[in-house]
Amino acid sequence: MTKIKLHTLLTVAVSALAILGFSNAAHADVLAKVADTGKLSVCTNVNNPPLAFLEPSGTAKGMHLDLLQDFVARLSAKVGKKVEAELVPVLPANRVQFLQQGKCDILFTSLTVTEERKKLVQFVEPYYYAAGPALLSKKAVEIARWEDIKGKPICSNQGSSWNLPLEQKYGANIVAFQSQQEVDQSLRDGRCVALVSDDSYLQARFLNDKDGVWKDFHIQNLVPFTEGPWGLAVRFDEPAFNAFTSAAIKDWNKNGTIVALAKKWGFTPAPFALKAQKEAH
Amino acid sequence: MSMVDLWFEGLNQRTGWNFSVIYNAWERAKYINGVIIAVELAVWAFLGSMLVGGLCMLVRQSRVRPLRWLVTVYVEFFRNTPGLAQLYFLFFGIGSYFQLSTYGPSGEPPLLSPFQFVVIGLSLQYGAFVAEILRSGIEAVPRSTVEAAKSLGYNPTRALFHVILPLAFRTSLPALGNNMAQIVKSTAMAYAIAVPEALYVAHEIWTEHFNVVEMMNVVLLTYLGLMGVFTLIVKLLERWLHVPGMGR
Repeated sequence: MTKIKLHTLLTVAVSALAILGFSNAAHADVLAKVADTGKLSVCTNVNNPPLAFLEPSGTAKGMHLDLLQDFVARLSAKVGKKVEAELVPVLPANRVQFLQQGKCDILFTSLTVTEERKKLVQFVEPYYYAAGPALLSKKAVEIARWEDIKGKPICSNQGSSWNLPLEQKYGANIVAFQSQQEVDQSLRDGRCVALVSDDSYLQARFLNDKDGVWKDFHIQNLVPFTEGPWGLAVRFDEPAFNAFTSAAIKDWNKNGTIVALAKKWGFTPAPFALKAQKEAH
Repeated sequence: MSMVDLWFEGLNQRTGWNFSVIYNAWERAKYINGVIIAVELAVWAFLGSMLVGGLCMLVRQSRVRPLRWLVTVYVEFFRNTPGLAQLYFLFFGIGSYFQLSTYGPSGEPPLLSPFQFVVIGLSLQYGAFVAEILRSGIEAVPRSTVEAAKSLGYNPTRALFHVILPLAFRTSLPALGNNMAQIVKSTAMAYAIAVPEALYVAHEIWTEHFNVVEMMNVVLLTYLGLMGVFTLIVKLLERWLHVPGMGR
């Protein structure tokens, strides 16, 4: 009787070990996987011009895609084989889960670094860009100070990191929708006095405004109350891939790639990026 | 900070199960408010749907044929299109076009708030169901009962209000309770147009902490709890209105 029990126990223990070993194998580091398959899966938000967006022809373009192209070229050189990036479209609200669940190897979106998020994903340091909050409103509306939005409806995206500070610190009444298009439509309809988004995103919007959709609107001249750094993110158990990505970002700062691309896609380069470029030299 | 708060904060540190909605006072207040808004939406939408359904039922009794056709068109339209699509249509379609929820040039509040849009949307959608439920209730009243009322000298209107409707309403009660349950659950749609009800607040919390699994459980338990209360009310109502000898 005892013998059988022991036997069963051993079997269970061995199979548990086997499963553990197997799952470790499945989690083998990204660099090895890329060297093996020649494919890197990348989570990106393809609905966020000019960082990443789909052209009418269906190809993805934008500042993130340019960076990604450079990144993949470096990766190809590293593993000595042509590497292809597979894009996995994500939404702001589900991107971290996608990375955690292994649906992609790296998160290439404008993910603002926060203490909460640091517990969930490995942010690659240095952070590559930064943005602050800005308000877009009709031309007739003037907001002199952040304090002036107290009690006023401000449209935003569900999952934006500006919602909490605006609500808690400045008492704004955040009206949050699921996608940027609904936020824009709500501002145009006058459902809120302004919309909040990243300053770089809003600036770029005016440069790409061929149809004059935004000609009756302007960005409020406010000093951002904070600058949120953006980080590329990988899973925790990927030290080699993390180091490789980190080296790539340092190189971008040295070569001025980030600032140049920011200008190319219509941003006023963030002070954060200019400083990083200076320090890299 | 109470014992409960401390325990849940400890749980987060020990196990990573982050029920921030319980120990974070700001989030707790927002979530409770979200649940209250969900209940308010459900109550208003229930009253609205009863009103709309009742009106439809009365119009269907009228002799004017085009009026009856109108009700049929309304019922079929709202019964056969998805609720979320109806809500978007009302809010971003009709609402945008007629500027129903627009702030005035000098900041006058809009004609309709998103909350009111949801109440209207749900009332119209579930009013169509109530109309059908009441119709089936009326049709379930035996012909002989109606004839008996007539032979006792009731005119058609008085027969309707004193004999047919009281019986029809009782037959309809289980189905109406069902409808009420649907309304409670459908209030969650409101989050699509930024009404801060329970699901919307939960979404806000989990984008902040990424505690999706925990919040999903909290949300489901919340709705289960709400449904329990509403089911109890309907049960009590059924018992209170029970006619001895009718049905079982």
